[in-house]
Amino acid sequence: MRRHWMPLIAIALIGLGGTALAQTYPALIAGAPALSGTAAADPSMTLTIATAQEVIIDAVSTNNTDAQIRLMHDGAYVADDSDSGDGTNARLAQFLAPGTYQVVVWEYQYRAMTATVAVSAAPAFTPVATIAPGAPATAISTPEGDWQRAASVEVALAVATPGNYTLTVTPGDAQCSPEIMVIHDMAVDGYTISGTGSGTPATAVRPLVAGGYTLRIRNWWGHTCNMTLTVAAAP
Amino acid sequence: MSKLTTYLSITAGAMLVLAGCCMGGSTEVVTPPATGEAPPTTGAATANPTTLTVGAPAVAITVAEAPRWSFVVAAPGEYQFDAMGAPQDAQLTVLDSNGWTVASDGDSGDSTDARLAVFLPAGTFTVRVNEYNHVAATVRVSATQLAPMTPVATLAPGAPPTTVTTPAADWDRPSSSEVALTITAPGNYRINAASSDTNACTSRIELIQNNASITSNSYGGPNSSAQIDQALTPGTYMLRLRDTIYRGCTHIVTVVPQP
Repeated sequence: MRRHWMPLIAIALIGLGGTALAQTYPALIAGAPALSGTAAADPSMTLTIATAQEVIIDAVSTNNTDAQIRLMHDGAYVADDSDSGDGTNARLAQFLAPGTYQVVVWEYQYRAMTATVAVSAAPAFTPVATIAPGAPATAISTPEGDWQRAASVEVALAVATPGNYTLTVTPGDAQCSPEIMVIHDMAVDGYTISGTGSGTPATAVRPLVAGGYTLRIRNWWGHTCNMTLTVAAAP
Repeated sequence: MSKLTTYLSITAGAMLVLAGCCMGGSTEVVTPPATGEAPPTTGAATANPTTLTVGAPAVAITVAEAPRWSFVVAAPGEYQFDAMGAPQDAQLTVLDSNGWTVASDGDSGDSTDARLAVFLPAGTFTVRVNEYNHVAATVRVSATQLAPMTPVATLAPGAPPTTVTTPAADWDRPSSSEVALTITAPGNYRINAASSDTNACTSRIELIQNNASITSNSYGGPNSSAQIDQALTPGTYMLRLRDTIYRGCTHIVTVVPQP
């Protein structure tokens, strides 16, 4: 009689733990016929963005596993993250244009996982400086940060005349690897500008229209770094 | 259900009925499969939310474990694993008993199926499959112990350079040829394989003995040749050669004693 209760007790314990038991498959044997297994779809959630904005997507494991995030748009890869959150949790900051996106979450080692997923509006930075093209080199210092946004500062750039401009961030030491993200109208303008290795400047010529830009600058290594920023009209 | 070898899995729904709690999940009791059959499909992801909203509270999700099988190796050898899931894109990983990846593959099989060959020592391994795009997939998995390759030539240290041709193929093993290497004196040896056409092929060498891979190299020598510096004891070794991307190639192989 007691044995009749055991599956129910087990089920209740599983429920309390919130974790699915692993499937158990028979052993694979060399030379034997192929065995069949079914992989369940990983959670895929639709995220609708009405206005261009930067969002932060967090996937936090609740059973000591390793959450991963992938962001897709119309079936195309946008971005992913593995460990930018606390511990091995995933965190992704992304500027998104209006549209429909898919957020896919899975476990790094494909183990059973319980997790929470949240999307928040990214808090705005307070610019550490405001510059215009041709201004003297501006000294900036990036903070230590355990993910890219936390290690970044922003500089406001006011462009009066459309044209090509050379954006350059020069590192203050050989251990520093600067990167520049050019942001305009809540969207990233082109690829992130980086150097050719630690100690080298991040520089590129960009066509800029008249208006306000934001330059988000960080040390790729996430460590504190003193740098100088120049924006000059390109010949 | 006379035994307690019961397979339990969580889906959504019945958990509320059975346990009166617990995040809206359901539980089904699945009878164990007969030997050789896969257990019924289970999926912990069935109750997951389908939308996310900026600024809304976090949602709880459940991710199901990917299928995995134990694989016992009684005798060291080379084993081939196939994971066939087309039209879905099966991925295949072989893990050791500590959970470390021994080998993995995405698309070396037909279409987008996964296939790999790996030398394994005696022990227990795990063969795991997942789907590249994280969609549901039914995957068939098989294992085959591979017969040793027949060497196309025999080399001895200090012999003149030997030319070895490797065939074009769509994955690594069938694009490989093996050369037997006989070592009579212990010492350090430099094994080099260079493509006879440096503009096209890039050689790769794998040093094998007693059904075990000792080391491998590509690009380690001059002019992108493959090169291994290794202390060798007397015995017979195999040098497995191929082009790094499986083209048909001709390799010039030398084995030179080192001071």
